[in-house]
Amino acid sequence: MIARTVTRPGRRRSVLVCGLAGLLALAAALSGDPAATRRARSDPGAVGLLRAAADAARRVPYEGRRFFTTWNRSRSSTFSAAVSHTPGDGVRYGSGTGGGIWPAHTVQDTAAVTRATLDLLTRNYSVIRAADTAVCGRRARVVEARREDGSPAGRFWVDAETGLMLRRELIDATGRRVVAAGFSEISYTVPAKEPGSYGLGAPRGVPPGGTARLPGLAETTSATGTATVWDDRLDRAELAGLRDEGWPVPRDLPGRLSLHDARRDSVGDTVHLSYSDGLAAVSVFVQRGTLDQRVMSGWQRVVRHGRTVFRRESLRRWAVSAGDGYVYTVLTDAPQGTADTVAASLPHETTSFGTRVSRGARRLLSTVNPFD
Amino acid sequence: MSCLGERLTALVDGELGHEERDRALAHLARCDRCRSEVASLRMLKGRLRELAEQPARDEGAGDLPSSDFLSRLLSMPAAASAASGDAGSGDVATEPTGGPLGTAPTPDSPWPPRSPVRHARPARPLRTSPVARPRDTRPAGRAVALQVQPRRRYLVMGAATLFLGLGAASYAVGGGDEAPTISPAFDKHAVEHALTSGDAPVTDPLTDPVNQVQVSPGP
Repeated sequence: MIARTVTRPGRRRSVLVCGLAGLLALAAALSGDPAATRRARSDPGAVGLLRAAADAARRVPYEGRRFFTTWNRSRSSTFSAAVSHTPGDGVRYGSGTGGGIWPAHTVQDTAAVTRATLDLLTRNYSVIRAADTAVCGRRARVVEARREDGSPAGRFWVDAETGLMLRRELIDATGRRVVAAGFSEISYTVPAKEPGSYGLGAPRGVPPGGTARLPGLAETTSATGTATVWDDRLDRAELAGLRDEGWPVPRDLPGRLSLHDARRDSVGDTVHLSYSDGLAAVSVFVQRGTLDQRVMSGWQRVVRHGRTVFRRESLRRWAVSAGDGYVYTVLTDAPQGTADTVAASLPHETTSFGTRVSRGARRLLSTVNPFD
Repeated sequence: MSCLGERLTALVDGELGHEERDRALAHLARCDRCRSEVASLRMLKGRLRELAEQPARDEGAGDLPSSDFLSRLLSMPAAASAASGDAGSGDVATEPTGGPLGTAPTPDSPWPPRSPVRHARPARPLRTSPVARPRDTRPAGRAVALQVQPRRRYLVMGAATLFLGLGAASYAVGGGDEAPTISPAFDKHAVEHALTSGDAPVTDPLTDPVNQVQVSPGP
C-alpha cells in the first residue's frame, strides 16, 4: 500500500515527461527540416570562423607554399607549389613539385569552404571548436566537423589573426587521414608586383611557357596564364531544362552528397556537377557520348553493382563510367570507394523500351523515306 | 417417338431425295403422329420466316432479332440433331425438333417434356467444327457467319504479325546510341575540380596527358 502511493506520482511524472518528449518529437518532425535540429548542434562560433575564412581568402594578401596530400592504404601523394595572393588579382601559383607539373599561372580567388558547402557541412556534421594549436608557426583556431557518432570527419585550422584557413584535412571513418591541404609555409607580406623570375609571381600578361600551347588547356588557362572556373553557371531552370533533355543530373548521390554547383564549359558539351557533403568535394563531369575505351588503358577496370567502372587512384581519385549515351567522369579528393560508388550509382540504361522502339522506328523510317 | 426420326425434319426442309420423299409422304399418310409433327414443324418454320420478313416493313420491330440471327435459328434443328447423333444415339435422333425456341410438346408427343438441363444443349452444336457438320444446305446466313470469322481472324493475325515484326525490328535497330564516341578531357576536369573545390589547380600526374607533353619553362 505504501509502495503504491509512493510509485504512483512517479509514474504519473514519467508519463508526463514521455508525453512532452513525444510532443517535442512530433513538433520537430512536423517542422519538416530534420537538418534544423542537427544544425543546432553546431557551434555558431565555429561556423562563423569558417564563414570568415572564405572572406579572408579574398581579402588577405600572402605568399607562401601550398601543399595537397592524399593518402591511401599503401602510399601518399603530395603536390606542392609556391603561391602568392594579391587581393583583387587572384592567386598566382608557381610551378609545382611532386604532383602535376603546372606552369605558373593565376587563378581566381577561390575558397575551400563556400557558403553552399558550409550549409551542407552544418547539415551533415556537427561543427565545433577544438583546442587551439600552432600551424606554420602561427596560432590557429581549430574547427572540427564530427559525425553523428562523435568521430571527427574533418578538421580546419584557421589563422587566429587573419582568419585565413591555413590547413584542412579529411578523416575517414576508421580515423585515418585521407586528404590534407593547406599551407606548409606562409607570410603575410604583400608580394612584389613585378617579380622577374619564373615561378613564384611570374609577370602577368606574359604567356607563361607551354601553357597556351598545350592542347586542351585553352579552356581553363587563357593565353595570359589565368585558370578560371567555367563561366557558364547553370541555374535551377537551366538544370531543369537539361533534365528534360534527358541529361542525368541527380540532386543527391550516395554518401549524403548533394549537388551545390553546376557549370558548363564554353563549348557546351561537358557539364560539371559539383557535389559535396560539406567536407569532401566530388565532381561529376557529364558528357554526351559513349566512352572510347581505348583511352582507358592503364585504368583499373572493376565491376560495381553490375556495371563497369574504370578507376584510377593518383593524387586525386578518379572513376569513369558510361551508360545510356553519357560518360561520367568522377573526380574527388575523398577515398577511392566514394568515387567508385558514385560512378556506379549514376544513371545508366535509362532507355525505356518505348524510347528504344521509337528511336528504332525513326531510324527505319529515315532509311525508307525517299525524301529524307 | 417419331417413326421417321431425322428424315422428318429433312422432309420439312425439303432435303430428301425423290424416292425418300415419296416414302416419307406415304408414311405420313398412314401415321397421325408424324403428320401432326410435320404440321407443327411447318407452322414453326412459317412463323419464324414471318418474323424474319417483318422487320423490313414493320417500324416498331426494334426488339426483334436480326434476320441473320433468325436464319441461324432456322438452321439449328439440323445442327442439333447432328450433335445428338454424334452423342451416340445413332441414326435415331432423340430430339429432331429440338431448338432454342423449342415447341411445346404436343399432348400426344411421345417424348417427355425436356428438363431444364436440356435447354442448355442447343448452344453447343453451334460450335461444332465444320468438318463434323453433316450435309448442310441450310440458309446462307450461317455460312456467311462462318466465313466471316476466319477472315477476320486472318486479318487480326496479319496485323499482329506486322505490328510485332515492325516493333521487333525497331527495337533491334534502336539499340545503338546516337552519341559519338568520346574520351573525357581529364586535364580540364582536374583543373576545374581543383578550382571549384578551392585547391591548387594541379593536374593529375597519372591521368593527365599534359604530363606526357614536355613542358618547357617559359622565358
